Amino acid sequence: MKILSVNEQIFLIAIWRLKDEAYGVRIRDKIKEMTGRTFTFGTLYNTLDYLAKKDYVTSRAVQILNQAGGNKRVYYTITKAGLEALREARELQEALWKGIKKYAF
Amino acid sequence: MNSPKFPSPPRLAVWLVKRLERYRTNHAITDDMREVFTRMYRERGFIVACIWYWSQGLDAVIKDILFNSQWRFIMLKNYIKIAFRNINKQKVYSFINISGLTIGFTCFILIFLFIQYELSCDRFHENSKRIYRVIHKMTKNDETASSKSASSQPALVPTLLDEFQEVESATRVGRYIMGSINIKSDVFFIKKWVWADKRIFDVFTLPLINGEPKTALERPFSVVIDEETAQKYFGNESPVGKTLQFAIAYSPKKYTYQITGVMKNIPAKSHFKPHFIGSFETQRSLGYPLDWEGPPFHSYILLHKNSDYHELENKIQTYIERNIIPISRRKNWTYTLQPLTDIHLRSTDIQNNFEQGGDIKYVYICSVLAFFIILIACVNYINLSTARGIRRSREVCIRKVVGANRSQLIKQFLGESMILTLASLMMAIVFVYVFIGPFATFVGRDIKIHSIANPGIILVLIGTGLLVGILSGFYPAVFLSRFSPITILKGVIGQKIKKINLRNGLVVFQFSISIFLIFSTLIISGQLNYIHNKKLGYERKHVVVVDLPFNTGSQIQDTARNELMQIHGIKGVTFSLTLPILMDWNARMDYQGRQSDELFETNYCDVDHSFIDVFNMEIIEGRNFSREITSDLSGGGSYILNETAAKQLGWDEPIGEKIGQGPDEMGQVIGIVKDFNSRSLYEPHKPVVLKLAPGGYIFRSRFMAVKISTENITGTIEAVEKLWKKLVRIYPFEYYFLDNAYDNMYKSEIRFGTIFKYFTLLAIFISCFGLFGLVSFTAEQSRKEISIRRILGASTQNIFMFLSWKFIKWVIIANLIALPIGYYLMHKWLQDFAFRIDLSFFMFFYAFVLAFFIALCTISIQSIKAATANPADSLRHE
Repeated sequence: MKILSVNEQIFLIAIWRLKDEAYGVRIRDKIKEMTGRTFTFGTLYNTLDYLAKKDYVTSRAVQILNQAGGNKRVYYTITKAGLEALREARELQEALWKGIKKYAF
Repeated sequence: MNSPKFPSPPRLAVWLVKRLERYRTNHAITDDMREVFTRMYRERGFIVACIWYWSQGLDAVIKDILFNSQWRFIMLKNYIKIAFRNINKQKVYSFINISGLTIGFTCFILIFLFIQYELSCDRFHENSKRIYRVIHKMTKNDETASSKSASSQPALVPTLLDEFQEVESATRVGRYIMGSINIKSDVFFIKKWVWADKRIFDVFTLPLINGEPKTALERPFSVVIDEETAQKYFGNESPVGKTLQFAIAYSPKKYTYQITGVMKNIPAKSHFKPHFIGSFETQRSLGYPLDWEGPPFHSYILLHKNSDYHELENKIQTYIERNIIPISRRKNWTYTLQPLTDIHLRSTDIQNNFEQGGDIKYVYICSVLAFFIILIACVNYINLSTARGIRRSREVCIRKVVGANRSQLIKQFLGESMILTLASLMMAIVFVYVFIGPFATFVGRDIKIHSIANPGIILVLIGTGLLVGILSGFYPAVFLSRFSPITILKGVIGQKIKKINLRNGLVVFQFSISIFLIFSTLIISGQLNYIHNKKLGYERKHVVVVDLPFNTGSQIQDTARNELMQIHGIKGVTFSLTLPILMDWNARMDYQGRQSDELFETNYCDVDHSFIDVFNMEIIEGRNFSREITSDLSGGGSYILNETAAKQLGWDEPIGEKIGQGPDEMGQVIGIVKDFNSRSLYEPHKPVVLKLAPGGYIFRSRFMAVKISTENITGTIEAVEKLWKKLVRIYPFEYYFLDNAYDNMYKSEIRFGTIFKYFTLLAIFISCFGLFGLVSFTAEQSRKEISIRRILGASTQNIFMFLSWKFIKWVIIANLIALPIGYYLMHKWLQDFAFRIDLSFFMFFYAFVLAFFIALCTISIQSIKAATANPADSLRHE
């Protein structure tokens, strides 16, 4: 299985953390809150599409009434395969850093 | 919820982003972006939010294209790979296609730049669309002849300004005047001095670097010079305020002028390029008549916006007829207006232009020719790719079986033709870069390579490239993608392909164009040859002409004549008012036995005793002027007429009759000279009157013609120059050969002939290439058939005929189509000449044989190869 890229990890973690609240704007805000990085919507949706294509996330569209925004939101939920991939990535990270002290460099 | 209304994001951006959603199922990008937009709006204002939305939208679009095109890109990579493989694998056909298209594009670009140059003449004036030149048309009383002139009466412009509201401004510009100028103590000879009203700077855009345009030409004896002249005579000093002295050629009087301005150099694309503009007021001060009888001027008017010049033309005509013409005593005057932008290309029938311009006819012909060449190259592509279809058919089928649909295949083949076309276009640009210099010299225009870097031109080039790509690629694409996988994979190849008639039609078309061009080239070069070698009735070889820009006194003429005759190698010297090739002087003569009111209108020339000898004209009745017979000079002088003049005067016995410019100046006709071609061969013989000038020297001698022997021509001319320097001093020695001057009159025809020749060569070259490709395909396709035929006993001739006949057939049909069209068009072209060659049967025959022979040669190369190949080679494998 292909190892997740850092961006994909960030997205998956953000979606997992948001639970039921994970739709475009919130995901973007959450990522900003977590990492300080701002993604453009272009990058955001390309990555989400990619993750959906790989079956790491599923999406469902919801019609809402919201004068301030649009009238449609797409909520994302992480799948089992997504969690699996996340865990694998984490194991890899930890294996990589094992035995290296934080102040080593 | 009672929330306030929020503005919506920029509509265009929303629309753009919405496009993205089409490809995706669960997508809320617009809605999400709108939400953030609203937030931004609340926090930081509308403008920031809009900017944000736009940048996000564009970013999303770009990202989407990059992300989504990955798959398309992989397919594209495959297409390109296959295209290059095909180009590589079939080198000969690719070479034929690319070279054909490259040649086509090169011609097209060069011609296009030329046309663009021709059309852009005189457009640098800000008001160029509102400026008109007045054309003065005069018709003879009996309406047999009319002439159009670019110059009109000096009183016209003031009348137009006073009487017509449509006219915003108007100016007179005189003809070029030659003369000499004194600056400080030096004397220079100048050629381009004009008189003009102060309003010239209102009408035309001629910016002054120095000086005030409103007042520069207000006072008499003021002059504006151009930058180049200022640099030449004054160096880096500012010339404004300085003075110069100017004397018109033939006039001994010099006047002092003050320089009141320096204008920018007039661009090469202008139809008039004077170096000196003298104030019109000077003319008034010198007492020249400036009424309806005065010397002619070019009149230009600037119309108000939204005025209709046709309407104005009618108004002017009515006004002139009512108020002016009775005074002038002349009849059949018409004034018309010619738009400034038409002057360069549409003035061939108008006399008294400043400089010889272009000809719209040749612009049309050139564009048609360039178009033909590209078309022939396209036809090559279509023919070769459809013929090649057999080879590609398997690829097409495999693609179809694997799941390609027809539109994908069409796109692929179109893409291939695009690649080929664009490659050719690139190469053509390189060729243009190389050939633009010689081409510019050849057409005599100042065309530079950097004029190609103009957005309009680049757009046209790209457009043409795409159009040619589609034109040549579309039919093959449709044709190739139509193959049904089942029939072809079963092995039934080519049955369908062989049947298409389009290819034959295209071969006929291609060859029709080539044959038409061959035929036209034959006729044109025939006519040009005829012009070049025509016996004109006077000798034009070994005659050196010197323009005399000043008034030679009798002494100079006598001294020059005596001293020149002593130079070894000079056979004769004559001074005259005009030359036999020019005959630009008209006179109205009174004559004995005149019954009508009308005077005899004729070409007129003052000559001296040796004129007839130097030009070697043939006296058919009477005698030549003679120095021994003193009566030739006495009284009203003596005359020699040409045949046409004698005939038109209607005398029974012309010798001894009297003719003259007034009743008191009648002189005797002593001889008749054989008709000679004065002016150009477009016109029939005109009446000519040669007058032996009274006193034996010519008051207005504009030309000195020297007949020299063939030996040591340079030495003789040097000797003449030495004498000139001794006698004349200030004026530069400028000479030319009469035969060159004659050929110069047909410069545009010769140019046209050369262009035709080259185009013909290229067209033949490209068509033969195509034919060659087709024949080799046929040969290859029927290789087995040929082998079996040979084994069964067919001779080489049989096989050769078998392969060649069908192409020969098409070439013959092409002949039948092209020759009548060629006959029609060339006949029309020749009609313009009063003296022309006849279209004979042989010319058709030559064109036919030539085309046939060229086609046969091309075909033979492949046919013979196929016919003599060893049958075993092609049959062994199966």
